[in-house]
Amino acid sequence: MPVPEPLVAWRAIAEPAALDAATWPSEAVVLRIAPDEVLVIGEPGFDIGDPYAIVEPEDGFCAVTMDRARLEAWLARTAEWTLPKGDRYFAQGSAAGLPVKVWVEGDRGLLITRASLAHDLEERL
Amino acid sequence: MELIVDGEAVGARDGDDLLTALVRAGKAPAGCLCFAGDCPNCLAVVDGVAYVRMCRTPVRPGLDIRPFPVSEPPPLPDAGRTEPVPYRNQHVDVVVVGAGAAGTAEAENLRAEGRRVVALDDQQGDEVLAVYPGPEVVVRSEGEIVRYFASEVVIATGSMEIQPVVPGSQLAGILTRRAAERLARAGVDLGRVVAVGTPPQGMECDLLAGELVRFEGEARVAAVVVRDESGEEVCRECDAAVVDLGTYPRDVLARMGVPGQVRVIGSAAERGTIPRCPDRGVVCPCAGVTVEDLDSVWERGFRELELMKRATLAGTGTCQGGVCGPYLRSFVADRGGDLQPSFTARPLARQMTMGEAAAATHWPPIHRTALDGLHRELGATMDRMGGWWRPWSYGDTEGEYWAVRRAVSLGDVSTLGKILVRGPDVVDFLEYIYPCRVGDLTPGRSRYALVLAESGGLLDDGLISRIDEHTFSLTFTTGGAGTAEAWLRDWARGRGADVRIMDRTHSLGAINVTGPQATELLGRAGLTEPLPFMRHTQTTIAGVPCRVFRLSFTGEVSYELHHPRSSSVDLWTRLMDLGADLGVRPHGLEALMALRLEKGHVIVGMDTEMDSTPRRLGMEWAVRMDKDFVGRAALARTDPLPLDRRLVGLTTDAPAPTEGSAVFLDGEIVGYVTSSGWSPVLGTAVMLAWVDLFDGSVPPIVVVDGRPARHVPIPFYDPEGARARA
Repeated sequence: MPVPEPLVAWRAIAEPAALDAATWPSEAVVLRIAPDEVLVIGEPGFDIGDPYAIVEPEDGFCAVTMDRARLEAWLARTAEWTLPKGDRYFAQGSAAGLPVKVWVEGDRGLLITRASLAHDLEERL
Repeated sequence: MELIVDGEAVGARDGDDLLTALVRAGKAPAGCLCFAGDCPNCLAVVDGVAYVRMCRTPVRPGLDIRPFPVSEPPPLPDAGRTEPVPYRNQHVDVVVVGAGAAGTAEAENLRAEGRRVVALDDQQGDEVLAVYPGPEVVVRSEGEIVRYFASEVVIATGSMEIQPVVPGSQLAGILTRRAAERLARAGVDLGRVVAVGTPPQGMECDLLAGELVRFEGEARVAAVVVRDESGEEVCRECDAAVVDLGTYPRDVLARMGVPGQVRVIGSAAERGTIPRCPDRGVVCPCAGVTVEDLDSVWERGFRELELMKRATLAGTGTCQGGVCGPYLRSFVADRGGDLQPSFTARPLARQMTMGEAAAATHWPPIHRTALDGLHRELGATMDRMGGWWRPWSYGDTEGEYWAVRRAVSLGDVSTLGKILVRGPDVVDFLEYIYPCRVGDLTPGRSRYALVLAESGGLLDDGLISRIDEHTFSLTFTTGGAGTAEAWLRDWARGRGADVRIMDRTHSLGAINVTGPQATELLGRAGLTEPLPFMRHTQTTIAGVPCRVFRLSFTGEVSYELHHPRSSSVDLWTRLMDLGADLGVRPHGLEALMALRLEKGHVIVGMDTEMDSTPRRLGMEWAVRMDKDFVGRAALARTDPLPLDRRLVGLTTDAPAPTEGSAVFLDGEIVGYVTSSGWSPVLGTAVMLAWVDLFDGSVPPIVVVDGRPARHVPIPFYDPEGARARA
């Protein structure tokens, strides 16, 4: 069974328009988790044009990297919502009773939850 | 093949269902049998699972079958804990329930339109248990629970046959017409058969014309009595009786669904036959409700179908109105003149095991701090508090307590709510959120603050700390952390405040370093500049970047170290090493509860109620009525009223009473204890309690647990706060 690992990330809260216009490092995975909030997986080095933006290193998440087919099979069984379609997508909701974020690209998938729930995620995978 | 029925071997044929096998063996259960899953007359415990309908269960060699009548509950299962029942969710466009002619045609049409369709039928092993809003359809299918999430549910469950309600209808050997036809196809010989109504196909029988009056016999039907056109009773002896009294829509699932999400087609959507109102007999075999019972509740004024259901429990049993539903409507129409609609159907339509009910559910997850594993290694007793696993005690609560009062101790307070707020409107916004002054806080300063609801009652409390001109750090209680962000965001949006709000509760760990030696320990760890009470600073402690808050919940010098969650274990371990010679040790919540009680600090939700205003709590000092804030209007309205009760401190020399104990004065209850415990440092029991006021005053002596308790000012310990400020 895959084991959740700490996710190295940054989190930013800013004006939605500023996040829309922000530039991000090409290697980073940028997940828009709310209109005014992004989770950036990877190095910082981004610029948000909001002088009051809150940008903090984020220790609060853990993640499991999985084969896409396996991840989607688990989600289909445990989530009450329909997975998006396409080669690349981001989704978030409840699966197996846990709050999860899902990033899928190509044949790989990333399953993210709170670090405080890593134990529960491991049990429920 | 052989089955085991009540401990005896019974032969069965391939293709039989259990009920067919029993009837073939001459062991037909009592009551009219429908062979369609509609009635409650063929229940059995099958391999330890109760409420199995034998007519819907195929035979398998060696099955252990223990039939039981619906009027008697089956024995409790004696099996131990079993394996979890597997489940899966499936997302489709349409669920079609029923694979008869109407259902099959509808499913084909929908598929032709390109829609993803699943067709379910219990004859094919998919037993629909419930339809929920969504719509969601819960199905028992080949040993697993499947939850279908769809945009539409089509109910095509057809019709059921109306069961007889006459004297003797609970005898064995009575069948509906379709049931008899099924047995005929299975080659079961029923002996001399008398049919009332349309006779069954494929079975020789003696047709008896007229209105069914009763069945006669001892345990098994021996004769059928009808009333012919001339009004005379005609009796015919038989070995089995077959009745055809018309059909009624099988619409339990349709009535369970939300209108607009569920479409009903075919016979299930038809009006069906409303049978003649019965004169005598058992209307609801599940609850044992007779016609006389219905008359009794009708005479007592229960005139609505829903009320009759509640008054008699008819329709609430195993078959969910499959037998009694048409007759209840008929009865109400006969007595009251109106044909009322069927009563509401609610899940479940079929019995399920506890394991099946639990299959698709999950225990709500309990969060773990980054120090969770360390606490467990230290032997802590962990408990769930505010949605987190927290150390209650490390095994020596008194030792933990004295470490705080006399030396230094660490506590894991990572569960506290931690929120950053920044923006050009931040001061105005927080001035409105909190009843205390905010704008006069300069960077580096903190203030204890109440959070009030619009009603003026205490919602939460915590610390406001100013980081810079436009940034504040806020803390909330563990229990309040989950809703704090939404509370702030709602008010920010409602007031159009230009602020950014980031919840850092799960991102940051927090360790409370508390005790007379706390300053010494933090000095060793890198806090070189003294930090005055209610100040904070960003610095490095034991190699870990921390925001250090100087405060106190224990009554001793305390520092809260907020740090990246990933550094919690390192920080904790280094502090324990650095403070070894100071006597440092961790303390759990049990010790913390005693420490805070001595200081009279309230636990929101434990010591407070929804209407616990600052005045009732004796915390007016935390409120500035010369500004506007959430809850101010309510406080302004209630402030002129005489104070009726207060949260007060009580002490007694007797053992600490149980929390929740009543407070008595002259034999009358005048309040109750919210927190109680023995104070090691004071040598007395201390309590917080809500107590009624008399002429505006708290009675000096009250009675708790049959012993006198004295009203004393709080804090009980170090009332001047000198130790916390040291």
